[in-house]
Amino acid sequence: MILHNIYKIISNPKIFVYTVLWLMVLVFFGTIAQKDIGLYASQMKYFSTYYFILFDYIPLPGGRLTLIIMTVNLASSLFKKNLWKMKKVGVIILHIGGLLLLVGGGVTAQFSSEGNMVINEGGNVDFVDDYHRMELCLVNISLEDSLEYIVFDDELLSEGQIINYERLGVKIEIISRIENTRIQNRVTLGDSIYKGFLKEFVLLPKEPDKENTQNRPSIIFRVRGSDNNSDGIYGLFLGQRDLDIFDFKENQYFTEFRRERSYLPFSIELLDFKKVLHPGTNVAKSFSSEINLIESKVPRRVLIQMNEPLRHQGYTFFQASFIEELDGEATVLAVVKNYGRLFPYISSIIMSIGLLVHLMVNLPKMIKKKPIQISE
Amino acid sequence: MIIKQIGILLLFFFIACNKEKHIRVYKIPKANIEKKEEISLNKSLNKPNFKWDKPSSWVDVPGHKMRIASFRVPHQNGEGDLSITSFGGASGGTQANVNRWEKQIGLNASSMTDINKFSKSNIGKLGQYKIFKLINSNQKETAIIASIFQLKETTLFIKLSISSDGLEEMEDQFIKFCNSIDSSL
Amino acid sequence: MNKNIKLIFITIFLLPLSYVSSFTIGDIPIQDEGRIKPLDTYARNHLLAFYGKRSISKINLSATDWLLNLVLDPEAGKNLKIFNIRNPEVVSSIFLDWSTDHKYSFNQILPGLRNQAALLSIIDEKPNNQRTTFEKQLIELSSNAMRFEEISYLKSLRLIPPNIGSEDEEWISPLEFILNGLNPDNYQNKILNSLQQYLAARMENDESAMTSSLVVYESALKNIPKNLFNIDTLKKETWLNQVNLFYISLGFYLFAFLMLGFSWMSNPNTLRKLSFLSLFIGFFAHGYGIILRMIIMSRPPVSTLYESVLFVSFIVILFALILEYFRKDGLGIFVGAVGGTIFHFIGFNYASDGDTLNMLVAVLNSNFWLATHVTTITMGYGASLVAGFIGHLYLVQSIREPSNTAYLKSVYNNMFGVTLVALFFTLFGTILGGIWADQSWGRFWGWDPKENGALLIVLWQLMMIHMRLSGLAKAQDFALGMSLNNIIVAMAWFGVNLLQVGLHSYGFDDGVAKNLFIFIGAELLFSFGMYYWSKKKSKRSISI
Repeated sequence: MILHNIYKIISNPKIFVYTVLWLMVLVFFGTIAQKDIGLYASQMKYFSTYYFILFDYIPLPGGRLTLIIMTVNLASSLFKKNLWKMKKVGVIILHIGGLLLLVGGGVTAQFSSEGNMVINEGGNVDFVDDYHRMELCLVNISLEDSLEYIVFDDELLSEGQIINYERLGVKIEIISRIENTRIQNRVTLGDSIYKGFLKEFVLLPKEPDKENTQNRPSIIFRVRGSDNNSDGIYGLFLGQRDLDIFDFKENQYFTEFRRERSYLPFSIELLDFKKVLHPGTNVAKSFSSEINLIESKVPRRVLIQMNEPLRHQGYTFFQASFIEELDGEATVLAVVKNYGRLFPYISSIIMSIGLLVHLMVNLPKMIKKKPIQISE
Repeated sequence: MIIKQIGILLLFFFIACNKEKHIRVYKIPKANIEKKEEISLNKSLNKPNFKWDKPSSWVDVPGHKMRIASFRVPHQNGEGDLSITSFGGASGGTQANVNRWEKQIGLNASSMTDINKFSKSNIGKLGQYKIFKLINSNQKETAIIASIFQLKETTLFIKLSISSDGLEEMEDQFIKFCNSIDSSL
Repeated sequence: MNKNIKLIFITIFLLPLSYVSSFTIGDIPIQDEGRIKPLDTYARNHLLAFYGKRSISKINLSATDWLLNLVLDPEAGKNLKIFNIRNPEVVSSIFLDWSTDHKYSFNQILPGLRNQAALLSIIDEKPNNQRTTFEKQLIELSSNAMRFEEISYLKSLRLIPPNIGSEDEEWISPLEFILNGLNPDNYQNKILNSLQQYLAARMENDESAMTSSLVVYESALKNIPKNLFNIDTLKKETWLNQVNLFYISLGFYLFAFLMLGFSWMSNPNTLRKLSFLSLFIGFFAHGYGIILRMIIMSRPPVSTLYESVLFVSFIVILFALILEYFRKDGLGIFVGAVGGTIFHFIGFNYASDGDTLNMLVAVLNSNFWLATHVTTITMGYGASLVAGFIGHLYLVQSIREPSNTAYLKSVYNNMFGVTLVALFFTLFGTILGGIWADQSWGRFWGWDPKENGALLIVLWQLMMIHMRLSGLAKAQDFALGMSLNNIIVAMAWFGVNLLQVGLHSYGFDDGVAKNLFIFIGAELLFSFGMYYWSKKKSKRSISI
C-alpha cells in the first residue's frame, strides 16, 4: 500500500511541470552567469551539481538533481495502466525515447572525459591531458631506467585535506588551492619552513579568467614525515619549469602540479600539420594533421581533419586547433572518451518512430477534426 | 545486530578504500620523457645541459643561482670573470644584449648595422655563434668579450669580463673554449 | 488554384534559373575576402563601405560604373565626394569643415589623414575592443582611403586567376604583373589583353569595341579550370544584386496587407483573393532569393545570422499561406504580411554593412548534420513565432468577441496544431545540433548559451502542451503562454549573441540590445495586458 502511494507521488505529472519550470530557471540564470564567470565555472556551479548555494545561505537544487527527478518521474509514469492503449502507442514510444536521452545524458555526465593532446611536428605523444582536472605528482627519480609517478587525483587536492601516503610514510596537507595565480618575488627571503620555489616567490590569487583553460592554477602544500629536512611548505603552479627536488627515504623526488594525465595504450606521432587559409585572408579554411597511429610498435597512417575525427579504442580524436612557434607547428587534438555517445542517436530514432506511429494511428481522427471554415 | 556490524564494517572499508582509490602509481621509462621535461629536470638537479673543455687554469666558482657555470680566469695582470648563462627564447635579441654590455663598460649603444660590422662569426661543436669584442679606450680596466649562441629553445651567453690587456691575452683561449662547448644530452 | 495556373507559375519560376544573360563588365570574376565574386558585388560592397549606399543615385551612377570611372580617370574619381563621414569629431580631426551632406572627396580627406599618421598608428596598436567610437571611425576612414587609392591604380583588384588552378591560391592583380615582372601564361595573357581592350574602348566610349572585348574576355574565362568559378553563377549574382528580390517581396507583402485592410471595408471576397495572390508572389520572390543565394555560395540556406532571418521569415510566410488556404478568412494573410514585413526590415538592418555572401570559418564548413540542424531549428523558430502570433490574435479576438466561441475554437485549434509542429522542429533541431556537436568536437551538449536558448524554447513549449493536455491550462492561458514564447525565441535567436560567451558570440551590438529590450517590454505589456483584459471579459460574460 505504501509502495503504491510512493509510486503515485513520484509519477505525478505535476512534478514534471515543476522540474521543467525549475530547469528553465536554472538554464536562464546559468546562461546569464556565463557572461561573468565563463562557461566552465557556470556549468560546474549550476548544471553539473546536485545543489548550489544562493547568496551564501540558500540551498537550491542543481541541474543534476533536477534532471534525475525528471528522469525518475518520466520512467515511473510509463507504468500507468491507462497509458497502455493502442491509440497512445506512439506517445509511449516517444516518451521512452526521451527517457533514453536523459539516461544517456547521465551516463555521459558520470563516465566521460575530455582533454587534449599537443603534438609537435615529428613528435610522438601517448597521453591525454584533461581540460580542467588537476593532479599532484610525486616523482621518484632515483630508479635506474624509469621515473616512478605517485599521482594524487583532484579529489584529494582540496584545501584542508591531508593525504596520508603510508607506503612512504609521508603526510601531505593541502594548505591552499588557487584557481588563477599571480607570482610575485619575495622582498626578503622566506622563512626556513618554505622550501624550494616558495623561498624566493609567493603565490597569490588573481581574478580567474572566464575561459578556464586560460587560468593558471596553483597549490601550496606542507610535507611531513621525511627524516631529513625536506619537511616544509612547497608551492607549485601549472606550467612550472623549475621543479623542486627533495630527498625522501634515500630517494630523490620532484613534485609536479599538472592537468590530469591519462596514458593511452597507443601513441600518436605527428607527421605533418597543414593549415589552409581562405585565399587573401587570415581566416582559416581548414586544418589537418597527418599522423601515425602507433600501437604495439606498428604504425598506421591516418589523416585527422575538421569534421573527420579518428575513432580508436573508445577514444575520439578531433582536430581542434594548433600552436605556431618559432621552430615549427604543433597540432592540438581534442580527445573525448564517452560511454554515453550512442544514446542521443538511438533516442532520436526512437522518438521519430514514436511520432510517426502516433501520426499514423491518429491521422484519420485529425483529418476529421479540421478547423471550422468560416465562409464569407 | 550482526547486520548492523557488517554494515558498519562495509562502510569503513568503503571510506578507507575510497581514499586509496584516488592515488595511482605507475612507471614511465626514462627513454620516453619529453626533451622539454628532461631539460627542466636537469636544471633543477643542477645538472648542466652542456659540457666543455676548459683550460686547467680557470677556476670553478660555484653558487651562482642564475648561471650555468662561473669561472675565474687568471692572466698576467689579474683575473677575469667568465659566466655562462642561458635564457629561454630569443632573450631580448642580440642588439639589446650587446647594448647592455656596452653600457656596463661606458660605451655608447651601437646600432644593429654597426654590431653586424664588428662582430665575428665562428662555428663550434654546438654550431654557429657570434663573438663580440667590446673595449672602452677610456676605461681599460673593464672590457668584455662575449659570444652568443642562438639555439633551438634557448640562447646561450658566454661572457668574459676582464681588463683590456687581459682580453688580448685570453682571446684565443676564450674562442677555443667557446668552440668546445657541446650539448650533454 | 487550378492545375494550369500552378503550371504557369512553376515555369515562370524556373525560367530565370536557366536564362543566360549576356556577359557584362559587372560579371567579370574577382577574388576578394577568400571568395570569387563578380566585379559588381565588389564594386557595390566598396561603394557601400565608402559612401553608405550601393549606388550613387544623385548622378545615376552604378557601383561598377563608379569603380571603372575611378580606374580610367583617377583624378576625377579622387575629386568625387564619395566618402561618407557623419561624425563631426572625425571631420574636424582631419582639418575639414563640416558639410551638411556628409560627403567628402578623397583629395579632401587625404592631407588630413596624412597629418594624423601618428595618431592613426597609436589607434592601430590598440585592440579593437579598447578603441573609442571616434578612434574606430577614424581608422576605418583611413583604411577605406587606402583601399580607395589601391583600386584607383588596380592594385587590390585580383582579377587574374593563378596559373596553378587551385582554389586556395591567391589571384593576381594587373598591377602585380607590371610591378613584379611576372610572365603571364596564355590564359592570363588573354584576360589581361581583353581587360586592357575593354578599358581602352570605354575611355573612348566605343560601345561596339567594349562589347567585343567582353566577348573575348568571356571566352578567355571559359578556358580556366572549372572548379575556380562558374560564369553562370557570376551572372546570377550580378542579377541578384540588381534586382534585389527582397525589396520586391517586401513590396508584395505590404501590398497584401493593404488589400487585406481594404477587404475588411468592401469587396471582401475579391480583395482577399487579391491579397492572397500578392502574398504568394512575394513568397516566391523571397524563396527565389534564398535559392539563388544557395546556388551562388553552394551551401545550405542558413549559414549566417542574416540568412537565418531570411529563412525564418520564409517559413513564417509558408505557414501563413497554408493557414489561409484552409481558413480562407484573412487570418493567415495577416500573419504573413505583418510577419514578412517585420522580418524583412530586420534583415535589411543586417545586410546594411557589407557583403552578406561571406566565407565561413573552418568549424562551420559544410556538414550534413550542421545543415540539417540549422534548417530544422530555424523552421522551429518560424513555426513558434507563427504560433505566438496566433496567440496574440486569439487574445485580441477573445476581447473583441468573447461570445463567438466557434471562431475562437478554430483559432485555438490552429494555434495548438502549429505549436505541435513547432515543438517537433525545435526538439529535433536541438537534438540535431547536439549530434553535429558530437560529430565535430565530441560533445553532444555543452550548456552553451545558444544550446541553452534552444532548450528553453523546447522546455517552454513542452510545458505548455503538457499543461494544456492535463487541463492545468485553459485556452486563454495557452494563448498567453505561446505569446510569451516569442520572447524566448527572440532571446535564443538574437539575445545569446550579446552575451559574448562560447562559440556563437558575434560581439555586443548596442542597436540589437536596445531593440531586443524594447521588443521584450512591448511583448510583456501586450500579452499580459490582453490576457487580463480577456479574463475580465470572460468572467463578465459568464456572470451575465
